[in-house]
Amino acid sequence: MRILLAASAMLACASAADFKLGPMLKPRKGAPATTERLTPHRTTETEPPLIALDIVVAGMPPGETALKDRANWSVSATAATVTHPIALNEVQWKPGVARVTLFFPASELTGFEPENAHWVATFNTPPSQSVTWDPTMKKGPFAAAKSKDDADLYLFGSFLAGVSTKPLFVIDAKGNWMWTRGSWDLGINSAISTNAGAQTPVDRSRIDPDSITAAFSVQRILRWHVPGIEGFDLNLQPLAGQFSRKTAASDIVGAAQVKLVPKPWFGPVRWVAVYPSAGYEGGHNLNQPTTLFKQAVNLSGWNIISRAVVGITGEYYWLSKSPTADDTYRFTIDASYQSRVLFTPEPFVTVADIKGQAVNTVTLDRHPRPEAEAHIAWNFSKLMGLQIQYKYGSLPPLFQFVDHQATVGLTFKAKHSQ
Amino acid sequence: MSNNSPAGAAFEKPPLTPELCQAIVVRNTPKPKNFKKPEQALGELGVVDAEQTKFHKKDIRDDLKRIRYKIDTNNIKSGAAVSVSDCSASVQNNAT
Repeated sequence: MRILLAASAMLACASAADFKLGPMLKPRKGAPATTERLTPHRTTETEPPLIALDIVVAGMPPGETALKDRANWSVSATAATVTHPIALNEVQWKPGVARVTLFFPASELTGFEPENAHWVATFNTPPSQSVTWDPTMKKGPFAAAKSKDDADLYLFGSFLAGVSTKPLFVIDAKGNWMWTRGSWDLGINSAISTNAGAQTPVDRSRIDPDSITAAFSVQRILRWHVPGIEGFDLNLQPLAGQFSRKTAASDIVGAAQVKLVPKPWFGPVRWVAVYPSAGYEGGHNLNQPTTLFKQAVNLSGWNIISRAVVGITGEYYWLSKSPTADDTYRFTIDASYQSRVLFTPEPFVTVADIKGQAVNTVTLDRHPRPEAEAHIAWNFSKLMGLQIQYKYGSLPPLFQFVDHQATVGLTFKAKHSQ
Repeated sequence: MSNNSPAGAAFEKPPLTPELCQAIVVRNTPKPKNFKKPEQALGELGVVDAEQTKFHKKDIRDDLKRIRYKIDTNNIKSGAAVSVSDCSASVQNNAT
């Protein structure tokens, strides 16, 4: 019996220790406990106007009675440097939505709107916990980005000067703009790079770009109310241009793709998702190089670009026990296959073994160009993971063929715990 | 003019309660029947990848629109590792 009592006490202590008040949410109009409901309802002037403060909570409270006791809470609102203590009407504990809600009469607020005040709520039962809410600050047009991949606008420039080399300028820039018009998401993506991989010494200074890409894209989600189907993901790229000095390739291509998005299968921990897609790419090649890979080539028939694209992506996800942003999946497989059916001739680059040497050969024809990729990631512990990547096929614009290529990688990541 | 008579009562936007926000978040996941508790990750309700996340955010926005609330999908926290509670808090904080 004593053991049972001790175990219960320990459990209660553990639960109490786990109980944490999270962020406070935006103040809202509230209704007494008995009338808060999920659906719209008629309101009359007879209902006393209330303000509700919702607080996100984690874990179980040490005692529900103490939590719901108004005397254990102190709440204040600060507006225009004046702090107003607030007398609560009621405290609700809502385990079904992991919230504590504090109600008070709107008449407690005089001369300011609840959404314009700084709020502090303190639960005074030891250990005392406080949460705050501040009015949303007006966001400026820019926020800090973590990296180039995370950035919408990125500019890197450097100038190198030294003995035995001409000055070297490096410019790496990208600009992405996204906006929404009704149900459409529109975007412009562009990037430019100059001397990004150049090594000193250089015999001349140049700032001609090595590569330029620019695209205007339009995206829309279309619902399809069929059991098991979410809808279609429509991606249009009416205009996209690219230039690469390395391969002397440049083109202007428009593309349209529609992807069917079914609901994932199985769950709740292991899921399978399959996304078939179909589309079209059309445009014009802007450059017919006479030499490629240090060989003379005849690409005079490479003008109009017209391709149908069909593909499918399959994914398998095994979620972590408690998914977090850094540790979402225990195991994933994603495999994609797409085939481009060409209506006009385009280059195809393969590697041939000529007299023991690997030599790139370029042909111009219309045979279909498949491309397959697969990735496997297995995080068998929080410290170690295995990645396997597989590639096969070729991609535009030059369709350089990759023949069954696999990469296996092992990751170990840890930091000192002290 | 008084709103005391039933005929004159105003039909207002429903208050954006935690219960309503959670109901909107859960019913717009691919598998709402998998919901057990607010701390549960949305991944367990089928929001397993970027494609499902895109649909989840758009469906939440459309659902809010039906009850005359607006929200920018960029302000909705969703994804496999996001909990139902955090997603519903982002809806409550950002819907206007």
